[in-house]
Amino acid sequence: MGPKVDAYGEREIVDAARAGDEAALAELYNRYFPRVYRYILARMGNTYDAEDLTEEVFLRVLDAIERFQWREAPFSAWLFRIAHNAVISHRRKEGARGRSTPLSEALPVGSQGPEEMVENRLALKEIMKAAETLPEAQRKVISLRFAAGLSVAETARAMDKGEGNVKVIQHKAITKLREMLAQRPKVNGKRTV
Amino acid sequence: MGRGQFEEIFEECLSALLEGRRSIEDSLSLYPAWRGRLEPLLRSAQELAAAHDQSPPPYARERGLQRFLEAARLRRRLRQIFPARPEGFGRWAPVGALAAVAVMALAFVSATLMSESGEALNTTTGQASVRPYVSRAAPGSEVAAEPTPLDRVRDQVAALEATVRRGQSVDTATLWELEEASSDLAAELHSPDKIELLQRVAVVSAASQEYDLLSELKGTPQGFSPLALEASLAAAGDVLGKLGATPEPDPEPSPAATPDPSPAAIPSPPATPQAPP
Repeated sequence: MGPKVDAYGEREIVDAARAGDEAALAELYNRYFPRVYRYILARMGNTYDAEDLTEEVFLRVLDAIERFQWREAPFSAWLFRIAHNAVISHRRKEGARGRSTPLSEALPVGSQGPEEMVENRLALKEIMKAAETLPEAQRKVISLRFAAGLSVAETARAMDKGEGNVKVIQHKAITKLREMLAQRPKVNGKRTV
Repeated sequence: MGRGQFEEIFEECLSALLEGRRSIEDSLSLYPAWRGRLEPLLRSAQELAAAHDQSPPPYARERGLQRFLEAARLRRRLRQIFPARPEGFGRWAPVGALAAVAVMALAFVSATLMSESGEALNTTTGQASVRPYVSRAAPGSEVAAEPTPLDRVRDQVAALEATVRRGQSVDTATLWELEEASSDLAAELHSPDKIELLQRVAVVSAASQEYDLLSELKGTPQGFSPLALEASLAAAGDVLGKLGATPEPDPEPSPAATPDPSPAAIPSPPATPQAPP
């Protein structure tokens, strides 16, 4: 995972970004944009919301980065707390307007082939549907581990929980998802999860 | 082995799988006693990772980066003209804010009472007497307020940005209009110290956006007069300069400052968990 491998380099970049260095800010953006996007897509299930909210998260980062303290949490954990808060406040607003956001059919363009993208999108759709029945903590662990690519230690810091607790939640969530998805029909000849 | 121990083993195998260090088969042969419980969970985890492997569209990434950096520049310029707050400010800020809110609330209540009763308090005599409220404007004599130079700059910058983002060509006349509006705005700033805080922020925000947009246009071959572009840039720079936020020359492009959305240009290791072959 990125931050673990390059923690020292990241510290320098984050400190430069805090001082307002534009190149460092762009570097942080490039490192984290895909991971924040995947996390929000997994939480919202909608590419339009994922694009808009990812942008919003980085603007919130800009407002708050001067107050970031290394002793409190790794940068990734701090960033994904901001992303989580953005998701929560967006949901609250949508809830107040009485709107729900279904998983969009718009396919993101990426490094995968078109068939693989469609398969993954369908699989994600199935998983999200199943995950709706999971407790919030389990959904959050799955999104942080599998979409954001955080380690158990980073996930624990982002959620303000102990690592042992995160491992237990993760185990329960995967077991439950597996049971639920085993009951569903196959997608493109493949069973999802 | 207890439940906690199985979770430790599962997490160890899962991390190895997601980081591409070890395949499921390798993990199963490392922990043969746990094969029955490990295998289904690891296979599920592998598929979960594949399903979450969704790449953001390049346009979203690029557009977001542009907005992110524009916002960073604006904050930097605002910081130049509104330096850090003096020490002790934080302690008195809540008191000041409360006092301001109280004064505003009083003013609001008085204004509401006056408008409801249709009467204005007579403050000239020092007595609590009232006199009939007389409207100063004759009915039907309201004239639409003329847009200020700041309104014109804002509108024209918004239109220019829309044109640029749509990939349409910018014409020379638009640039001259923008130059005129910006020059008028600069001319209005004859005593910048007396401009209200919010007004200063609004002017810096609009002029920064204009300056960044025009700088972006500078390198692109388009069907407009370079002279018009230079003149508009100079006018925007003049506005910023008058408010103490003189734009800095563009730094030399670095790989990070001019990012390439291709995966090779991103120095971090793959962010997505890698499934083993």
